[in-house]
Amino acid sequence: MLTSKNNNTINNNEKPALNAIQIRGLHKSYGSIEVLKGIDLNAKKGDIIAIIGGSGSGKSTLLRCINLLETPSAGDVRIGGETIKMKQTSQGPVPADKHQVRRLRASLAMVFQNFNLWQHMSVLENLIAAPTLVHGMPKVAAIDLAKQLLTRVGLSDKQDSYPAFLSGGQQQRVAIARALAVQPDVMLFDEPTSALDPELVGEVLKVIEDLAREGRTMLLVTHEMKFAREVANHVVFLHQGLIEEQGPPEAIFDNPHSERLKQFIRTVQ
Amino acid sequence: MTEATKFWVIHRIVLAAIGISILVCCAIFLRWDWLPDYYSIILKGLWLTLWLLVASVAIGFALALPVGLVQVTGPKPLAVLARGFCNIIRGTPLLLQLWLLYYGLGSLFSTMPEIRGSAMWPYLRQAWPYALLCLTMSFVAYEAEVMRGAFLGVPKGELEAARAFGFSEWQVFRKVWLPRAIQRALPTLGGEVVLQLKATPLVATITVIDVYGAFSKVRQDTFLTYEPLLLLALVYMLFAGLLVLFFRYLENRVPSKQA
Repeated sequence: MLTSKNNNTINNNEKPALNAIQIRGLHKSYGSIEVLKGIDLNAKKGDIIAIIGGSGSGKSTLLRCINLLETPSAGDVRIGGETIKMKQTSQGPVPADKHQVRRLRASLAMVFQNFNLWQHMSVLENLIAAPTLVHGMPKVAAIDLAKQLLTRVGLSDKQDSYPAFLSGGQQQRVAIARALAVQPDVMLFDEPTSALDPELVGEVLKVIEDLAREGRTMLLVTHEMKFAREVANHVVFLHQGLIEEQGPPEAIFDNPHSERLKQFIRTVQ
Repeated sequence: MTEATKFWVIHRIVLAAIGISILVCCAIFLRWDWLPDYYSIILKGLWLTLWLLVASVAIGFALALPVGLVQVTGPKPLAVLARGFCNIIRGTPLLLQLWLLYYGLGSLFSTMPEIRGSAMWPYLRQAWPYALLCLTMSFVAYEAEVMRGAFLGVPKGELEAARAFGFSEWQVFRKVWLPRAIQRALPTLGGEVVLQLKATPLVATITVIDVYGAFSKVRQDTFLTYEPLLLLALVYMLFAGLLVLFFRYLENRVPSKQA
């Protein structure tokens, strides 16, 4: 299953200029508070983009606008070259086609800060839910894949455990396996290590690093600067709802231009 | 100590001894010769009580889900309506509702020729449909409140995770929101079903002969007080005990750390 997916990725890479994610003029307001003030961002297939910035800079909101957990107030989001259709209502714009939203969401997978595993399901059930329900995968195949993925994140002995009985690091590794189980085109990581005890951060970062090496497209909101630098091929610094500076990690971390980025890097190091 | 020896600790032995001696005293010193005569009416009453309980809980819970859910999700007019229904039912005594329906609506129906002529009349002239309706409405109102809280209490992140994976809204509800809400509400629901069991004897006031009604008949006929009432208490305790065990079994099916 994993091999066939990799073939797909290679095929897609042959088509030039195909963006996995393309964001144009993205705005997001809550009432009178404008969180995102016009973001343009491209992620080509295989890109690993780290999104950094202070708290309240709009990093998580940006990520959540991509899979429409937040509805953009203005601007375009394109996933795999397909623009999410929006329509205007008296309450502001809403997605026009819920089937399209479901289909595009199914091509993404998100890993949350608080894991958000389904607590009433065992680890294995968490992993097969989306593949069987959304992707129509036969249950036997889904279980097979789930077991492979659990082995990969080092939790093959936990398949029948319930999330409440796992440590934070283990839960997050299950959540990553759950995301991988839908064989996503793009993985979105929303501060995957922020809710973890310091001694558990390493095990989760290691799993993400392995994925990065496979050439998966990933968007990663993170506070782990060292990790961002090692893993990402592109770093985006967000400040007050705008992209203040972006570029390859070396340029961002070693040679920052903007005053705010310099200050940010000083405070986090 | 093994499981078996742990169970037979001294206070349990003493309590069991007291319990058994009370039972023996009751059996020896009280009059039970009426039992064979009323055996069948008691069984019929028992059956009716059980049937009323199961039907009102099953229908009531099924209706409580939308009534509770709509208060969380809207639309607003429906939420207000649901809220109002719950407040009215929960704000008035069940006995009053029962009498209003049976003696009020029931006698009104009998004056209306179009109802008397309808196919429903054979049912509407009996008392049990009114009893069932009342018990069901009461259960809906209380359980809608419980489920409203349970729906609200499911962590939003788990619903977001389901949506982010492309679940349809129905799948989110069916696979995550509802089972999680029921799981959270189960301890409360168990208690509510026991309360519902103990509300059922009220139907005896509108001529439905449930198990309480059957024992009232025994008392009227035999002029005995303690014997039928004690036995009746035992019957309700057994029922309640079985319900508690059943709900405990349900709760333990998904292990949780909070419990």
